[in-house]
Amino acid sequence: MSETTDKFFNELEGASDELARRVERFLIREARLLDARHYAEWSRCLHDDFRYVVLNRFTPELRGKLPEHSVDNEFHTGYALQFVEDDKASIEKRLQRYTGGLSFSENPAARTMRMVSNVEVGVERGAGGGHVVARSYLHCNRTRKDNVIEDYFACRKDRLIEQDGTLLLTQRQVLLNDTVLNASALGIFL
Amino acid sequence: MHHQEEPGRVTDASQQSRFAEGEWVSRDGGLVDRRAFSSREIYDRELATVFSRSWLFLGHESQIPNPGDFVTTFMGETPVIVARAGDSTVHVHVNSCRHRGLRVCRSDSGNAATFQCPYHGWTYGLKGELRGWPNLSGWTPIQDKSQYGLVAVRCESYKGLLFGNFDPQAASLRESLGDIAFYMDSIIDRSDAGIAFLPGIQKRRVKTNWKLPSENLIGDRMHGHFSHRSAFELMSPDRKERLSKIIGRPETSRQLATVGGHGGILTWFPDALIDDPWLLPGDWTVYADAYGAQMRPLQENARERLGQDRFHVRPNTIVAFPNLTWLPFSSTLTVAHPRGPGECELWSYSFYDRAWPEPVRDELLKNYYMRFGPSGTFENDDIENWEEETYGARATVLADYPYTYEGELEQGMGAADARLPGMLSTGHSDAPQRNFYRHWQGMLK
Repeated sequence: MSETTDKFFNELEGASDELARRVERFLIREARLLDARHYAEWSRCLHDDFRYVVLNRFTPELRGKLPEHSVDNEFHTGYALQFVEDDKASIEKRLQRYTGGLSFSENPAARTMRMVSNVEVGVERGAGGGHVVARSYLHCNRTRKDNVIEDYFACRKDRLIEQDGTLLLTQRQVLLNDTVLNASALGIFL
Repeated sequence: MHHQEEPGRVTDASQQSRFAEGEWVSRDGGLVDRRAFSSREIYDRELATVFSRSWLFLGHESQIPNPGDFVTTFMGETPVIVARAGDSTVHVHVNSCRHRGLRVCRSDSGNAATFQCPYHGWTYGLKGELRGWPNLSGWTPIQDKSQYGLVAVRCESYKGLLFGNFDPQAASLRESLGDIAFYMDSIIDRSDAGIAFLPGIQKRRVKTNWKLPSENLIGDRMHGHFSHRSAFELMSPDRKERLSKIIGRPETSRQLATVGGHGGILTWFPDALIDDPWLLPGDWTVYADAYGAQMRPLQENARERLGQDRFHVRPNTIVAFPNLTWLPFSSTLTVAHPRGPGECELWSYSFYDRAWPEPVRDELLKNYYMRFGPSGTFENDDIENWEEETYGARATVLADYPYTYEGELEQGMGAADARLPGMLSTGHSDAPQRNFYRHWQGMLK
């Protein structure tokens, strides 16, 4: 299931400046489509095999020196309870609920603003190569009604693939900067 | 204002007379003062009574399988360490140094031989004993180490579920769970292998009073079809059809209230349905077609272990007073740790029966993510309700307009079926909520 120890995301390399700029534009556009609630258009950014996970983070016990890549020790991998795991089918259902008007937690609708930064892009070589990998930071501000104000800070690790000249997301791992989610619910894509 | 002419207002003599002096819940349980969900004074009393005398859920033994394994959690607002010692016994201590009160363990889980305070290095063993401190300056803070162990908390296990209680006088865990244990068995005691918890706890801060999740899950059968319409809409017609055969029908639906303020919502299967897939564990609608046959032998084993009566009943929800809520259909349970009158931390766990085949576990986990937990399409709308309910309780000018729990107030509950323990009703009553709040009021004294 969820693998966080991934050297491709630690040392990103091999991407031309042009590819890096394209990926950055892709991430910014994708954020805008979500903020603008253009959900149908946003879902066209996702590959049919898209996998999405918001990892559950915890504070581990540390004995001795802080090891290299110790951030990876703060996430459960394998068969574990994450904050959410989705595929494209379950995402389509969630989008249907956003726009259906019957959900009291989405109606009135939330206002979101996603700020994408610290984008680094690389090309994944070896088995199943041809994937573009990107790491980015996300600050998402979400408000609802007159009394909900939430801020999400996360690192995102994405895999993208080029299909018919278009970039599509095949995988997204969201690494929140919290162990206790500072929001009532995760009715939002990060 | 003509108070006597305003129906619903408590200053109306007929309603006022339903409250005993100084109580927040009417004698019949049908009215609860809004301040029960907003007052700091009542909240402080809850910490000193309800959260100091009740059995509070700590976790499951599968979270700490090996000597030295520990998890940290809370009892009310008090941080505690749950650790397995070298001799494999489980010990619970308040996570606070006896010297200056710092947490001696500041991580969520792990394996340790000792816990050490960061201030002066006071070091404690897994059984809470003070071992000493680094003698860096020849300093001797106390004479008798044996008097300064971490404060121990009573801990008892019910079939692997760990609970703690600060009150040395409290009845045993088994006695306090009472009749609700019968229904817990039908989830946790189906196989020789028993249940295990997945690694990972979903923790989130929610702006709701801690009682509202309990109140909702203990008996509120009236909100589902309205509040959760958008979530039901996402289900396939076939799945909805299957569920409609059992949900909300008087011949199969039961509400449960037991001594101790516990309760839940049950589905009771008549003999005619007993061989259908209805009694497969978890939400069988997501896996029965593909894996139902594989689960059959497990079912036979479960029937033998549980006995026919216990096997016939499927809890949709179980609430163990005060703050442990279960949704067995989604293989999850949640603790609402109080954080002031208007806020709590929800900690959700996911469990599975070790006897379940892996694909069944995966399907159920996927189903859980879609329905409950922080991303759950059902839960998101529940949270919206609880937060607005908490918001409404802040209107202290409305102290004379209590929240009402009067569904089927006259009928009450009875032993609807001699084969099932506890008080039962077949309807859509508020009786389990009344039972919960009367027990709460009784503990506040």
